[in-house]
Amino acid sequence: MKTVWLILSKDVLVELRTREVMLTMGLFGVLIVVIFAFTFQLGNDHVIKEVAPGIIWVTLAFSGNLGIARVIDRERESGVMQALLLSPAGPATIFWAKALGVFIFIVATQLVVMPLALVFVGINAPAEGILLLTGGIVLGALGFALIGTLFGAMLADVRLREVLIPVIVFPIIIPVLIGGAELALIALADQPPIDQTRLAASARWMAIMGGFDLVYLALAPWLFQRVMVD
Amino acid sequence: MLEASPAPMILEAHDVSRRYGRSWAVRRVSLAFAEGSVTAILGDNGAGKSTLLQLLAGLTRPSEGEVVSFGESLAQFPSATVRRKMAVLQHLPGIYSDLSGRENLTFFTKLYGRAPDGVAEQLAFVGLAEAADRAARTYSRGMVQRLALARVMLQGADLWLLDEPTTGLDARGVAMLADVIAKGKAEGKTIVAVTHDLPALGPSVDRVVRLAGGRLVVAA
Repeated sequence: MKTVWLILSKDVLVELRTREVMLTMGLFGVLIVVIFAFTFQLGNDHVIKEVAPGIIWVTLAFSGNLGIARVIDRERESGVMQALLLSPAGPATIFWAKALGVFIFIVATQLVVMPLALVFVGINAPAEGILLLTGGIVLGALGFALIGTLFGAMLADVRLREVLIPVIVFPIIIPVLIGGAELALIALADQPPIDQTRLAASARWMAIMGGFDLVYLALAPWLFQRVMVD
Repeated sequence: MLEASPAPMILEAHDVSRRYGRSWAVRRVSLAFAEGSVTAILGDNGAGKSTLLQLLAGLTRPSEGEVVSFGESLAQFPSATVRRKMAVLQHLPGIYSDLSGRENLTFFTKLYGRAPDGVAEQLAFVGLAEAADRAARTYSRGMVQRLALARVMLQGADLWLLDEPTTGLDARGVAMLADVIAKGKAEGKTIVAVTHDLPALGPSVDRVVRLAGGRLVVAA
């Protein structure tokens, strides 16, 4: 745990210094929101609430992809990844630190982009809705960070990795994207407060997303260890 | 009078081969490295030197044969115990360009579970005291290589595996490298260095081996 914190705090320090990942993800996320807002010519309140979940999750997926590529690139350049792998920390510890970093960067970016998206499309979500939406983003960002870090590291030395990472990662995280979009749909629905039926549906989707995360929490570090060594 | 017992072998390659596709990068190499010895591995470009070093570090698994490091077979990725005893300088220096020299050394020292007490001293030893707080991306290639050598020294490992340690070094840097190797030898480190430039390693070299076409052609 101490080593995870050491690597993670190094990543955060570098990010605070360069602002490469968050700035790129944030700007890209805002750009996607603006493009959606214009292209959908949002005006109909019902349509807005139908498309808003899609906007939020497309933003998370595409901006998250940028973040993963950059976080892994930092370890690839100058051969630092191999230096880390040969340290006593070991591959699994490195994976936890990198995945945690990606998770923090995605959540932090979404905490800025999500309210902006709601403002842009003119949605005044209730407090419990925002809470639900945030819960979905946290669960989704976790799954995305686990899968993204795994495949980002696997493809780090491959040409066209910027293209290959989303091509491989997006199909795998479909359960998370569907769950997140369904949660957002419930969270932004018309009739506050959220009733028992919608609460039950939320719990179901959260369980699916949580289950997905749990599977990859167990699987991803092991796979990382297998693929990063030779 | 008691005869001194020979130094134990801490790293051994038994009939090791490595194939990439149809071509053999390393073919049936057997070598043993005694504790405290300094070995230079020479060879032309493509002779298999770097692949052999990767095999000795456990970063690449042999297609045939076995590497044993500190009594542990490297058929699997080296254990944490072996990794702690081994410091590897690869062709790429393994330095974070957005961290300063001091921050890089402090990070890697802590990664090896050591207190970063000796960082300033090592930075001075490799001639980077004045540049210690500058981002490594502002360093020349030679300065980065000096920093990478300081990282190797600070890890407190018993075995140093150095791939082309002279890369980017100027005349003063090469002299410093010879000092680094001499200091390592004096501290009882086992050093294996892959190089084109044998004189750059200085007078501490005990043995020279030469590879050609992936095979061992001279093992003095």
